[in-house]
Amino acid sequence: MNKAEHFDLDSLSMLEEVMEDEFPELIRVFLVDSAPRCDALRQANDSQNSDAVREIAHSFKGASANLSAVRLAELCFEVESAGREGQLDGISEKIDAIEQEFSKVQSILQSMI
Amino acid sequence: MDQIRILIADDNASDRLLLSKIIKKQGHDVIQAENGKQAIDLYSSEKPDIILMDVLMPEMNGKEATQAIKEIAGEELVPIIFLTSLADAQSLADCLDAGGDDFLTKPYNHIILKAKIDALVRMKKMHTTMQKQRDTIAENNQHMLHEQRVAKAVFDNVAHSGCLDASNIRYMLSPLAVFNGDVLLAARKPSGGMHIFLGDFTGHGLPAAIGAMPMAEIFYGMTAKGFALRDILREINLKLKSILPVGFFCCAAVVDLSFTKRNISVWMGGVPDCYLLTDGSKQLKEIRSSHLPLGVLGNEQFDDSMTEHSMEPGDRLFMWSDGIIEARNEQGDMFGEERLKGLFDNPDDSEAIFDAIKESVNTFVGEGERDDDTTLIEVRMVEDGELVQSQVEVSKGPVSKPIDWEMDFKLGIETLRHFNPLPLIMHVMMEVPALRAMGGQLYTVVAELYSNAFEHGVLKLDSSLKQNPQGFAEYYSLRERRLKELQEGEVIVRIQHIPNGEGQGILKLSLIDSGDGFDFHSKNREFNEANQGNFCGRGIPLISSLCHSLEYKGAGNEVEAEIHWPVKSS
Amino acid sequence: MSVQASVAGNGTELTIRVDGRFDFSAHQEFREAYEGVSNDISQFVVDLGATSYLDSSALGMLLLLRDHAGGDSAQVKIVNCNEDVRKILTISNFEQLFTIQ
Repeated sequence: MNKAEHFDLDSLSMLEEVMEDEFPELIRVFLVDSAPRCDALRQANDSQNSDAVREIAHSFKGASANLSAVRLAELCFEVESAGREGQLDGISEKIDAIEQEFSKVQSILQSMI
Repeated sequence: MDQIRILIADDNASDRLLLSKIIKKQGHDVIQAENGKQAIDLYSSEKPDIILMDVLMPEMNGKEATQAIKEIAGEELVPIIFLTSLADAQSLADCLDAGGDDFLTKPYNHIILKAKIDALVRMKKMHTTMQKQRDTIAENNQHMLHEQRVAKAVFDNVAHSGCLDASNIRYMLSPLAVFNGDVLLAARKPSGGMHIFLGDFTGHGLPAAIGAMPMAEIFYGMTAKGFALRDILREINLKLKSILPVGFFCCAAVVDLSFTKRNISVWMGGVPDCYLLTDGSKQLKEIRSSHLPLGVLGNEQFDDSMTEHSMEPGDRLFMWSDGIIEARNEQGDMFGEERLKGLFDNPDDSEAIFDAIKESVNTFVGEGERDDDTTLIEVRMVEDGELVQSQVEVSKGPVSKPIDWEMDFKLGIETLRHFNPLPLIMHVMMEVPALRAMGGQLYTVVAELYSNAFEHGVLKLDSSLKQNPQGFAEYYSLRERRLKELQEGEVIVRIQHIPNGEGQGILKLSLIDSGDGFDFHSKNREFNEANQGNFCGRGIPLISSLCHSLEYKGAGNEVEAEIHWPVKSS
Repeated sequence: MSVQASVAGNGTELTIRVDGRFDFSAHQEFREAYEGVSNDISQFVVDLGATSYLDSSALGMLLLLRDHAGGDSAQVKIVNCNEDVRKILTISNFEQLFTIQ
């Protein structure tokens, strides 16, 4: 896996520097927080609740951006926008993409601890 | 960098972890909230200095929480930085409109966050400094207002012992005039008539008020004691010159109004022309300022000369300070002398002019800046006796009632050499209000009697020497020599007052000198024949009109003058 | 409002010019213009050619200058007065204390 495809490397290394010995803690918290998010998105989509979709995607986007997982953040932004516009058609595929991307991000981060 | 407390309000755990790490590294204290409501509660209990506020949160979002917190904070400045991943300009602007002071976008950059926090800390410090300064200024202002209230109260007591409410006076004076330096004083003279004073001090506020107080005291005190206006002016000028710093002075218009002589004497220094309307309003005379303001010149250069103008009953004198002429309207134009003079053209009714001036100025100024500087006075000549008698303000002294009193003093040789007792004798006599009107004349009598007692009695100088010019010179050089050589001698002065019925009294003045006296019997006859009476080489026509009697006693070294009041004028 | 000072006549004459409104705001600058000048200065000239307006605090400042210049023995001239300025000086009879041209 090419780290550069999923992360902004400069930003990530700056983050590691800033967090110092709490870097592992940050990764852990992110992973724990984000774990239920994909399922939550799916559920919100199934109930056609565009507000919920928007909110969850927005939170997920923010957290990802903080960890410099830029690709993941981008995908979440697309889903967030769709939720804002109330356009939930075709969102399912995007949610799948998010899940896949998250899985890769998870692996990379775990390898860094 | 000072340590501060920062509140992080964010529903995302990893955000909170990241931000707190960055902030703790900077040395600051961190508290955390997970939603808007928690943020408000924590603000109230912990009072953080700065808040990092996430915009979208459950329970209450960042904008609402911000509004609530700003309201709780009130006057205190609590900067709030919005945490946002929103990127478009409109959304960011909305954040600031909601009450935020700055925003931080994701991903968080620790360098930028540090810079923003430092900037906000500087802002808070400045805010605190300004609040302190504002509070100090407000307190000082309160003190000042209080002091001014006290000064005004004192001044009102001093300035209102006069007769500005007499029926022949109309005036316009701001209640705050003491603070713009304008003064209006009016006092009845014991001998009839009035003194009127319009003053305009340089400067504003308390410095102007302070100068006005001794001035008013002098004006009222001396007027009540019967002093002439020229002497009062001289005294005021001297006082102001001595107490006011260089560069401060009082412009003034001063008038001596005589009902019996039907004229006014005017002294003007530094004020605009005043107008005298006579002859049934057909004649308008402009009286100019011809002197320097009061308080500028020393006593020697001070010019107390006044101009005389006749005034019949019904004639009116108008005086004002430059405040009226300089009154400005909204456009900044001045009311000006032309407009003022215009109000006097073709006056059918001189009675209406005063109100016309007031109205004209008010209308002109309109919404313009109210300086409250407009001082105006109209004085009307009236028949003698027209003004209500009860308005006469008589200065009270310890011996001003017609009661029994007697005063003796002995002047020994050393005192005689150096001391002139005349002012003292006069001062005591002037305590009898009824005698004040003839102060000048009484002085002449007393001076003559004392001079006789001292020169002829104690110094034993012969008055016949003064018959011709050479003799005069010889007389006075002899006087000087004898004064130096004098080893013994004394003069005893006795002043006595007894009542003589309701509203009447008798004042007795006796002088006894240590000399040999003279043969007065023959001379006495001359006096009693009520003629010029060539006493001691000088004619004293006044004595016969002023004194009820003048008697020599003993060896001729004792004289007693008796003055009855009220004096019947001849 | 501005105050300018210049020395002429072999260092014996100081001219102070006041432009604009001569009022309380000129206080400090006006004083600084003559305080601390050399003792050679024996003549003082106040040039009011560009002065639009004069109030009573300006009169006070002129008195202070005169006092500094020796009081009664001072030689202070006030020059280039326009009509309004002249009028104010006349009402206060300042020609009794200053030479006004």
